[in-house]
Amino acid sequence: MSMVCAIINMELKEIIRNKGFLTSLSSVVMFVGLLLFSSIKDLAVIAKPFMLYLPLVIGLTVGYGLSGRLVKEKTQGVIETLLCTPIKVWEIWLAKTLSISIISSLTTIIVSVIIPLLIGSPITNLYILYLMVVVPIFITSALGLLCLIYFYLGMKQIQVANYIVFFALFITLFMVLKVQLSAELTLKTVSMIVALSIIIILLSIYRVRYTDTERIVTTFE
Amino acid sequence: MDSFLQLLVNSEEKNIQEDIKRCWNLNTVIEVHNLVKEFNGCKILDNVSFNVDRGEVFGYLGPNGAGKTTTLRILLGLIKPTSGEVFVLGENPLDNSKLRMKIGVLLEDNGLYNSLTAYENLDLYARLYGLANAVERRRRIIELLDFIGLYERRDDKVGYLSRGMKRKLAIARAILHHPEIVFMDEPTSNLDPKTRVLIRDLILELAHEEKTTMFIISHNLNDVEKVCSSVAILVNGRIIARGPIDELKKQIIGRELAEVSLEDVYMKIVR
Repeated sequence: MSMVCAIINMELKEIIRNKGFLTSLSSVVMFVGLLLFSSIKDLAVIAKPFMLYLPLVIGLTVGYGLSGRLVKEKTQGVIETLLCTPIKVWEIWLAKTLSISIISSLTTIIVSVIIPLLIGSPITNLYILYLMVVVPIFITSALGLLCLIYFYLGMKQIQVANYIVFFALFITLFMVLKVQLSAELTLKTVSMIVALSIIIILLSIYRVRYTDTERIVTTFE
Repeated sequence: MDSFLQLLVNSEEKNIQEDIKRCWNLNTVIEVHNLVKEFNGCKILDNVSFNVDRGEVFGYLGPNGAGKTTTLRILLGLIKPTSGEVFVLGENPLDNSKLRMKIGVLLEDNGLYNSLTAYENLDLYARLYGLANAVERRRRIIELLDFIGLYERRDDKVGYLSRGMKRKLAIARAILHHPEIVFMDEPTSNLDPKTRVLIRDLILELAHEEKTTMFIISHNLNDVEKVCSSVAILVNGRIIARGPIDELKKQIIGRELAEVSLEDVYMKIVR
């Protein structure tokens, strides 16, 4: 586990010092700034149905932006070099997933606390608990799956996968707007999100343990 | 009684033969027997066999697409051979974490973290290679940074270093844990002559002072001739020639050694 921690430690430093992260962070700051100076009245009323899902979307967006570095590392030989050390494939996957998830979750939590404050929506203890527990689990599961896909696929396949992911996101967004979502934090909704996340995490762990390194080192192009 | 004596003699001969074989095996650190690798029905490696002895600087040559990097990946246990046997330090390299502690790797791409400093890059790999003691780790990293002439730049981000500096840093990373074998893919590619000479000297110093076995893939035949004691030349997945450089010169060109370069031998084989 010390090897995983060593990689996480260095990955966090690498992400924070990277210009890409600063760009993502400034986009989030701009988004919050727009909300702050927005002249839309009753923003809280408009935003209320989305408050439950907004942290998930923010987390996924930030995580998706950061996970692109994994593709870059694959083409630059970082992953292959790591595979030549005593660390195992699943440990590299875990370290990469956790480091991206930590940054994405922290950004999401901060933004998701600031937004309700700005638009005057109440912050309940349950909402804080939701942000601290459920959101990080969901983000980790989604990013774990994404990292696994990036490990497996070649560059062209990744581009196709990106289009599919965006298409799926739009469809989901459309469905969310179409059906009347519960804006309340209910045990049922939270349980469903947690259960789905845990299933995705378990499936990813199962799959990554049997990952053939040949797939990773021969899929750059 | 005679038959008993004959049996004893035979048994002693057999023991001597096994001892010789064992000694030979101890001296051989890389063994490749009838290696075949196919990708989607296309044969990349076709019945490749060679050995590398302990302390040897071995050059693995061939044109682009000959199968050099594929052989390297098989030796590193990153990909499975279709058939044939590979032993590195007497062990199967596939999914072998223990073996990876004993080998160092320099791939064609440096594989460095650009936003981390030179020191941090080496520190990460030192931890991965099991140098748990912080004082010992620091001592080794500083020793290596000094050795490659990057001590003054230790706190600079790798992204700001020159190509040659990055290459030297990647070499330092490969030898950080005192490996018994170092695999190098194009150690001097895209470098200016001065840095090439520096890296060549570094390889020779390692081979002579640390007694490290070197497996070098390179297109730069001038560099190979200066550092390698023997080579194998791979063409279309088959080894066409192998042996000590001087012997290859005699065999293939058949002229005085001083007049012939490795490039002459290589060009004659590849054509």
